[in-house]
Amino acid sequence: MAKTGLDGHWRGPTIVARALRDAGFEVIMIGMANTDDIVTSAVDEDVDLVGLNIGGHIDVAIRSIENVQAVRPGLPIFAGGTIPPHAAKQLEALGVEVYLSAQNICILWMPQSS
Amino acid sequence: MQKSPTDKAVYSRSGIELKSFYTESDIPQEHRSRVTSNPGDAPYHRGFHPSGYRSKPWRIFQLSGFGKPEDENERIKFLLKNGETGFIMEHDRNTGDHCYNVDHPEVVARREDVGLTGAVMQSIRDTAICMDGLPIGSSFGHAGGAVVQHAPFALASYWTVAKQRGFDLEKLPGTGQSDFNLTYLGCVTKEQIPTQPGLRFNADIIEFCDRYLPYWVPVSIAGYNAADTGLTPDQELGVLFANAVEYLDEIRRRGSVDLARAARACGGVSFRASIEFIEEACKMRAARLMWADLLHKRYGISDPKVANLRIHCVTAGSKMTYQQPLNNIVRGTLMALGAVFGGVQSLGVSGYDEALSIPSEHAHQMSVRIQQILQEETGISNVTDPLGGSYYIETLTAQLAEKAWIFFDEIQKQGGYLAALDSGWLHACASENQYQEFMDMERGDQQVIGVNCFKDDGSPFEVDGFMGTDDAFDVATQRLKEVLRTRHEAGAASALKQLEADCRSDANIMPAMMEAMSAEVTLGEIGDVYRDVFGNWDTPIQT
Amino acid sequence: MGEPTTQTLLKSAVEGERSSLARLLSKIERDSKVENEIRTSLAGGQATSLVIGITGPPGAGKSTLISALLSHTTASYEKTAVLAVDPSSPFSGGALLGDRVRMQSHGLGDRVFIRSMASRGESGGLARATSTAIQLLEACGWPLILLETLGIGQVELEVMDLATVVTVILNPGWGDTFQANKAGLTEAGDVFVINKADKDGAQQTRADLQDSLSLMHSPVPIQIFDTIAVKQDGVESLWQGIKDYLKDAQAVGLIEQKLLSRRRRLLMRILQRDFDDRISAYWRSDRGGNQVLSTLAGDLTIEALRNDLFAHMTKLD
Ligand SMILES: Nc1nc2c(ncn2[C@@H]2O[C@H](COP(=O)(O)OP(=O)(O)OP(=O)(O)O)[C@@H](O)[C@H]2O)c(=O)[nH]1
Ligand SMILES: [Mg+2]
Repeated sequence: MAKTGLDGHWRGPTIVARALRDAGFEVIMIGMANTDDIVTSAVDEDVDLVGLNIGGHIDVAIRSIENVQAVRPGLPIFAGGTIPPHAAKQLEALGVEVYLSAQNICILWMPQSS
Repeated sequence: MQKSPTDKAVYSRSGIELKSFYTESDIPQEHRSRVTSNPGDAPYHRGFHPSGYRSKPWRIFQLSGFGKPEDENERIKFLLKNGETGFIMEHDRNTGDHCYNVDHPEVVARREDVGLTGAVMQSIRDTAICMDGLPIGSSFGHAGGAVVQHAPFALASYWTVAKQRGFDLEKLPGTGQSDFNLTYLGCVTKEQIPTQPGLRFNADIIEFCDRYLPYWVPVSIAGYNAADTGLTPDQELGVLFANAVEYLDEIRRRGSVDLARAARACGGVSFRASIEFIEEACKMRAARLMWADLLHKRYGISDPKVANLRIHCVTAGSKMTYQQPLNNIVRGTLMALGAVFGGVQSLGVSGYDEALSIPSEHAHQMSVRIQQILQEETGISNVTDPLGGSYYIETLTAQLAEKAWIFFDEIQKQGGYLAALDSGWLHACASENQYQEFMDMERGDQQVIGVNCFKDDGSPFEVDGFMGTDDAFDVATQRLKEVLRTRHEAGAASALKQLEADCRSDANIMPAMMEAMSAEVTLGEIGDVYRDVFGNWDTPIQT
Repeated sequence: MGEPTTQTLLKSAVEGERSSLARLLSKIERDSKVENEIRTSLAGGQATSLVIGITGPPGAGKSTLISALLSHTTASYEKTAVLAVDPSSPFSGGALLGDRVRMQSHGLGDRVFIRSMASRGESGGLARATSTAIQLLEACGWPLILLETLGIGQVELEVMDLATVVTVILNPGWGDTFQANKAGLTEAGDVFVINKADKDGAQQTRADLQDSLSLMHSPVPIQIFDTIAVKQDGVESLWQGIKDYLKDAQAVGLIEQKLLSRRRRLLMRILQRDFDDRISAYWRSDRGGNQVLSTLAGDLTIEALRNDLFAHMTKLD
């Protein structure tokens, strides 16, 4: 679980991390992380799933998603945060499925691609 | 509140068990005598002034900011034209909260984020652009600096620009925020000075304003940030006063400012107005009660001008939904109504697109319109404390205050407010509530219209959300180079050196900060000094 | 194309492919058969890497200190690997692993490899797969491994079995809070650190610690260091202290002795674990189940059950 931006509101990722833990997931918290940190963690920890809190600009998130995909092709990625509709549409164009979950959390899901 | 069969217990958001109706005998004994007091009289729960909004409408005060300083300036002027009666200058979080210049590697790594939620202001030149043509002498301005380490820069740059434009600081109205609840609880930055130097900064600001800016509200404790991180209304009250006590004790220890004046300086606070609006109205009433009580008992202060708490309120951003965003106009209205029933002095309503983006121009305008409709059409301003005397309202007000003092005491048991932040105890409280709230919604125990019931497809796309600007980073980069190239280098260097020396000593840092602003020292250079002198706060949370 | 076999992964991991190493670590965590296969493949390899155990109570600053040590360790060794163990939730089996967040931004790129591990119900402060993970890192050419245990104050310190040198991290005030566990922790340590020396009571803690240590007989002098990990203060001296300890220990033959006993204990535990697995398999098998029921009913003696177990356990898997 990483936060791509430097905005420190931590409510969203903490709730999600805890829900995952309670569902039996092992969740590695890496905090506010830039793209390089996210990629290194995804590789070294051999994760099955990457969770991103993308509070900021969608291009920052897209960069992280693409760089993770480059080293771990097909790795599912989910993301949530304050995501304006135009950004959600941009993500959909990349093959990301957009789900509306709780209240103000928008969950995006990058399904296993080939 | 939960839907339940009549025989099941029902609780308020603060966990107070609610009866199905109230009678006179429910009002707690110690509160009975207070009920007969008038607004403007101690203990003030009935309001700030007997004539209330008749003589002084609440200030329409909206958070605003994005992009380049000129983008933000334009939006503020738009809001003022639409009837906003004060203005708020938001700084970019990436640079501002962290005291980084745009060329810091962590910022460069996220360059598109720059300017998303506030304008980039790295030197006094940027601040001057943002303030261009704003009515700073006559209108209540918020200079930004919500985060503690950023506040001295934000304030000093605003004041310096004001001075250069010929305004007399002695008469300048306004505020910053420098809020501990935001900085160390709700919005934990990547790097931040520890809480002890943070306390010192705020005490320095209070001292400086006491001497040079008597009309300025030096710090504004924001219960909002604690509440939107998860604390319940009673906890929000408890934490706010635990914070206030920390400031006042520090001022008393220094002995440099008359304690009553310092108390008045700390008595401009902000709260969250959430959707359970009756309890929220009671919270504002309880807050005034508690402040008067605290000042009297702990500091022996009972001067009405000091003991009368002034409240700014912001509607709960986290209650705005992504789905069916137009419903948020209704939510915003109800939350605002609760705040007004509670007698607040100043109000900001979150944009209906809050969950989607920062406010679009239209959403911003709606936030102003909601307040104007309340003020001009509903007649709500005609009578002060319209709910006063209601068995339920008075009972809940008293119960909230009582419960809030319990939380206040618990914080003291943790070693005080700073200790409870350092150890993560408050974060754990908030985190627990967040999770419960979230699970209540997931299970459907808490119904949220459009989210877990009465849903439809694709509704967020009814609203565009704000697109933002895309040149904030580039322009800021260029302007940074420009400042560094064209400023008087020796002057900047010596001002920065003086600031560092003052940081290392126990001098008040504000005079050196003012000098640094005039000498065009940049934000990131100041941040480097902080990091060197104070080190980094060990955040107790892991995100 | 399917998932590559363990042997293919092992080959590429040993050749230096990071993602193969990472994948293998997950496999040994998940599947004790893979763990066995790896151990068998690597059997006979010398224990050559230096393993520094970092242990101490929860929140003592173990992760922060490791992060601060990295710039020093990579000056002495080409590369450093970190294994960081955090507790699993006994209820859901899930875990929140928070060590890595303190170790981010070391800026050392490929020269550092950090891996989080959940304890998955194992007592003793490590995970079941930790020992094999160390073997694997060794085989893949990581000359230095920093091993962070989960925050414990208990006596059963498995880290002693695996580490060449054990560093115990304490905080000011330790004497009052961890009274009951004093003995265990002091026995385990080769090097001691009082971290958060910026807090009150560091002097008192040093005195308490010296008190407890005076009862030990160590052939090499045991040192105590004060650090403020968040500010990097004292970290360089600590690293020097660890190196001094190693030199002294080497001189008196203690390292050799430790490496030997590390391998002995490893071997012992491998056998124990195999044994456990087989007993479980017997227990779950039809035959074993019936024998157990008969024993419980009093139709079979425990002695007879044991003999039956020994006779049949090798046939099960
Ligand atoms: N004041 C102070 N705080 C420190 C110091 N070292 C670490 N901390 C803080 O102590 C807290 C815990 O640090 P960690 O490094 O996570 O501790 P840990 O021992 O790894 O914790 P667990 O793995 O959870 O057992 C963090 O908030 C650190 O920032 C120090 O020298 N001084
Ligand atoms: Mg740790």
